[in-house]
Amino acid sequence: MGKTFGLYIHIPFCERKCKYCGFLSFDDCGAEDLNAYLKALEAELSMDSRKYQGYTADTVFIGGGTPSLIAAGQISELISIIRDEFDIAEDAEISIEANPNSLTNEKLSAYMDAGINRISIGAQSLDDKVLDTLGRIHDRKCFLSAYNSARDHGFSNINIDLMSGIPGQTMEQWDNTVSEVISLKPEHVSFYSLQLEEGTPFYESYKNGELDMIDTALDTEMYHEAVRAFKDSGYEHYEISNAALPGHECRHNLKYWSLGEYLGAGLGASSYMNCVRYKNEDDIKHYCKAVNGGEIPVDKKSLHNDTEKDSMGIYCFTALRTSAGIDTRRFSELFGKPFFAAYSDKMEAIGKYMAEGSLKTDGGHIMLTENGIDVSNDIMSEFV
Amino acid sequence: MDSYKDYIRNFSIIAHIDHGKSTLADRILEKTGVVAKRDMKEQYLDNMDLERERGITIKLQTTRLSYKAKDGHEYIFNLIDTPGHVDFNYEVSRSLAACEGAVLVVDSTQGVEAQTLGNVYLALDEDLEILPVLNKIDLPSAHPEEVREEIEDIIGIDAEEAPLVSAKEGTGVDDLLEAIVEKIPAPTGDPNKPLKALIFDSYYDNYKGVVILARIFSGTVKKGDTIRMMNAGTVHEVTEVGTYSPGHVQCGELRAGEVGYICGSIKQVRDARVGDTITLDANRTKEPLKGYKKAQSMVYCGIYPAGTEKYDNVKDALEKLQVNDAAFNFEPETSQALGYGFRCGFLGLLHMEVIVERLEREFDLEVITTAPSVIYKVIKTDGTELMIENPSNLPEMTEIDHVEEPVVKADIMLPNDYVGSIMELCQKRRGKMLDMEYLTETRVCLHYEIPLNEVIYDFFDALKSKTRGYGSLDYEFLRYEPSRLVKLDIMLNKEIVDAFSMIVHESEAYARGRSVCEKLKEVIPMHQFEVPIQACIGQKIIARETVRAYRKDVIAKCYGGDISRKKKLLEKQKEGKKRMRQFGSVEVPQEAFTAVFKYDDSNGK
Repeated sequence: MGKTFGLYIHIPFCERKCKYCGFLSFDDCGAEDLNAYLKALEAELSMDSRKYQGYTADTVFIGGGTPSLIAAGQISELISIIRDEFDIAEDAEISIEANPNSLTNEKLSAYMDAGINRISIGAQSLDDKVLDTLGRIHDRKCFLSAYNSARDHGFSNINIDLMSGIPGQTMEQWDNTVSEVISLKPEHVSFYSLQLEEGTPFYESYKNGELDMIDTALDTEMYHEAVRAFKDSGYEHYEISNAALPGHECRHNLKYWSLGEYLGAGLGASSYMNCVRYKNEDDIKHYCKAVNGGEIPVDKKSLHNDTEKDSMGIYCFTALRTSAGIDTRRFSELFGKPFFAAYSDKMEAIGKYMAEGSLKTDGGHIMLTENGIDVSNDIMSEFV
Repeated sequence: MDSYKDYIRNFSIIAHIDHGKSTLADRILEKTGVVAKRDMKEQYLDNMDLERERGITIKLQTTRLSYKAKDGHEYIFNLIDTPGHVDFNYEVSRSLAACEGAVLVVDSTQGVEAQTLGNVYLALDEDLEILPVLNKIDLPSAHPEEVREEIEDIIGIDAEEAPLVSAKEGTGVDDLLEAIVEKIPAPTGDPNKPLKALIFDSYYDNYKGVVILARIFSGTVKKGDTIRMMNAGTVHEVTEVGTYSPGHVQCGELRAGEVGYICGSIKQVRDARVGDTITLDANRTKEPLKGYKKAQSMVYCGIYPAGTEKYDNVKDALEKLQVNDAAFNFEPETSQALGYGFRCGFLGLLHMEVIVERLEREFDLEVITTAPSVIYKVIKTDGTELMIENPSNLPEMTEIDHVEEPVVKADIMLPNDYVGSIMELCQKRRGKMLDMEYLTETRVCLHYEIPLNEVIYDFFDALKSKTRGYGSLDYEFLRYEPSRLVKLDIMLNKEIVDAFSMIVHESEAYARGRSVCEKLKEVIPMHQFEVPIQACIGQKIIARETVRAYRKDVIAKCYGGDISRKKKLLEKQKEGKKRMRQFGSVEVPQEAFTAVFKYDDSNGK
């Protein structure tokens, strides 16, 4: 097997946009738009595959938006195109993101048949009040039913997305959601703290003083509380906002944190191939126009050829997101010089973070402590 | 019999900022063939980038031009450009003293303004022939006839024959050149008498050392002469004389009536101060020229290396600037908050801004400047006197008998409509109105006495803002006056940050304290903990704000591998950090030091 990469596919459609969501997705598109997009995507995939020959995809991630919005047949078609165009590893991790309300039995069967072996369900909360605040389209019951159906269809690698720090959310509500999720025994949990994103209804409300964000101390406490609960139940807190049962870490996501190569197809998707970072066009008209004109729809402004120094910095700050941290031995292998030689000017800062208990070392690895996570951006910014 | 002097015209151009002085100078240069049109950057004489950007002239540039007049003779024009700001009044007056005449440029869309008037008075003091010119006649809003009347009414000079000019388009420039020949007197003076020359500018040249620009009033100077600075008392050997046209052109000698440059073995600009008189050491003139004074710093501020900037780099840069600017001075000081830095003295606020910008642009340095301050005179209970340039050096209140502050006489010229709001402004700034003068039916000049401390913070910005840019200000030092002044300290997280300390009038302490706290609240980023900002006088807290704590964006979704976005975010954070100063546990962006003293319409002042 030659070089491996992760393939990401973006489905930028939702039935309804959530009030906090700043991701690239549309909720005002008809079936025609959707079909046109899938056609363009197909064309892009075919161009991508010609460009990157000799690569094997060992992870595939269909994200969004809401990939579960598109019909069972369309997903089967998409996977089959991917398999035609790319060499997909036998044991590839193939994930799809799903919203509970569109995860029907028909789709679950289609996923299973297509070889999708990991489902990521956007629950966010198991509390109906909280779900209502977020503007989610599903409720608690809907989620539980979707989760159980996925299990019934034989999916043995399920992620549940959760969100804390939501306006009005109490510690009790969060605790209940976390413990209930644990009782479901998903293989993987992602938990994020709500961020205000410009251009979202939440952002506008906050600006106009109509929305109160929750207290910082409570937000921090929620995060640490969840980390404790997952750890106590046998999960490994392997990345800042991800926990998994042993052996179920998301291999696709780990590529992002370890200088792994990945190819993003679809609107606004990001790629990192051959030391070049770029994003696709995020304007759907430009995207389709480029693709239909026989061109890979790269947003030229985003093209960036990482220098070795860039790569070192990115390796360090992304690795710090993981529990393994910066692997100084791997660093030397990658860059041909010892970590401490490359960052001799940062020794003082690193020492300071160690002294204050934000960084720790273990067997040649440098990682954030749990307290260090609270100031992780600060520490990471030392490396850019 | 014809003398060489009959064909020399020495003149300045005086104008208010934006009235088009530099553009006019450019046209004159172009018409006299000095600079080919295609080689011209806009506004040739303003040779610092900063000046070009701001559209103001700070440093003098003198140029010798050759003009063939309609009478068939070739004339030498020595165009002595003057700075256009109140901070540089003394330099202006010395430049004017080197001339026989002045071209007064008045914007025919705007009319006469306070500073035009200030400079005209300076020119009249020097007995110059004033040649008014109405500029910008190409603009639709030009009303030259009214402005002509205004000049006659306000300044009291004949403007009947004032040329109508559009410097931008070049119209009327030929008339102006002829008028210069006709109206401005030729210089006088005997080249055989002892040397008497006026230094009206000096600058540092990397190859030549200090270059003096001088007007010769009598006698002759040439290479090899030993010259004496009559006020400084120093002696130098002349290594070169010449004219600037533009670019140094060596010549054999400079004679009475001429203008040119003199180089000697002079290391610092301060050894060749503007206004000093040059004579020959062996054959001295009896009396120096009148009007010499040492430039005096009116405004002080601290300049500190920011972020990782090195102290020595800042020191080297300040030294280089000082070599070229006799009016700028500095000495080392330390601040608990900012570490090692310098206390710097300036002629005024603009001068200060210019120096700071040059540090940043020409020397690529990152510096923090503290609030500008005037010099206070402190009379202690034991009778001793102290001059305080840095508010944090104010002695304990118990040791102070009283404090005196500098008061200036301010002339504010403005359209009638804004008189009310400017009187209110002056009132709030503890101004005492001396007189209100109606210059014309619609233009007024307010004469005030105002403490300088009130002028340097944001007075000029407030004036501009309240008069929609039509108000102009001119001021000069009057005297020291006892005043009820207190030291206002700012505490961040319960600790005094000395760099924020300021001296204010008792009556304004509360308002100022509140306003500073509010502004700091805006510029200090949220921390992981609450940061109280307090203003206090002695032990007494008079204002308080709190910067709310927040959770940094750390658990955010790093979506779909968009690591470039995360990287940008981290870079921004890092850049932000570099521009922060750590005070105890509180990080303060460097903008904070100036932001709190800037005029802000919303602060109710």
